[in-house]
Amino acid sequence: MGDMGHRHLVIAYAVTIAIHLVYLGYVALKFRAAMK
Amino acid sequence: MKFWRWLWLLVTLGVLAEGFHVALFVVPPDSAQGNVQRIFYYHIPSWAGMGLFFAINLGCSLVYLAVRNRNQALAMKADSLAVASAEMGVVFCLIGLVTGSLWGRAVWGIWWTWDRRLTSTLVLWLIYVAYLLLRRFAAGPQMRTLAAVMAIFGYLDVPLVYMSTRWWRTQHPAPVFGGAPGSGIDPSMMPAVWWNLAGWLMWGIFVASLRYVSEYRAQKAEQDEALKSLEFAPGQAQIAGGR
Repeated sequence: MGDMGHRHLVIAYAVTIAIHLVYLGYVALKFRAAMK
Repeated sequence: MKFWRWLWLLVTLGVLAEGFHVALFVVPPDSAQGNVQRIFYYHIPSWAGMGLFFAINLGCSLVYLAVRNRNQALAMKADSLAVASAEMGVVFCLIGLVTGSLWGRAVWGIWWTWDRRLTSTLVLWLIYVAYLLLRRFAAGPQMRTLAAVMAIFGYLDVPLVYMSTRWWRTQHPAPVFGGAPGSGIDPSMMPAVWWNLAGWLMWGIFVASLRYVSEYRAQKAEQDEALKSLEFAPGQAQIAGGR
């Protein structure tokens, strides 16, 4: 489990942050459009 | 963006940074699983976020159905918040599924299994994706009412997901919190749970509030345009009648 466990831990954290940032980007675009 | 929103974001980023630090570098590794158990500190907040935002979606859908013919301003606010919370819930649910799958591969040796918890959660995610697709592609005045009704039926899967590991014993571990006597994690690990729970819920509230504002403004603009065209229509009729 050692190496694979570490790899999966890093991927899980990276994927969590990436999904949140992608969605934030979508929301920011909508927000900017609505504020015009 | 208003001052208080920037302040909220700043505090949220601080809490998330501390949560990240505590989860990876402060709390001890799990005695059985080792470091891979630290996925738990991002996995649990995703389910908490999903539960919170789907509950908000349910509440807003009920309010929308109750007031849509009597108080259009409140109905529009409720509907806008319903959209924002459904999207945020779908994002949290997706992260829960992905982090669970990565954890399962490392611990069980499999990416996925059709056990009750995993299957009911996937169905829940698909229900809310369908809800968002309905809102995106259906046209006409009944769309929002249909979506609200769908949200209420969709929410019925949430208690099923929550209870699935209590009612049935399958691949997914028994509940860590609120499970059988003796369940829970070592108190030395709890700071990582609290920091990340607080941080990700604050993040969800921040992003959902932005989404709410943009949706509300879009719906308001759409309504104003419809009212303008109605005001314009009688004049057109008069001109046509005078000819």
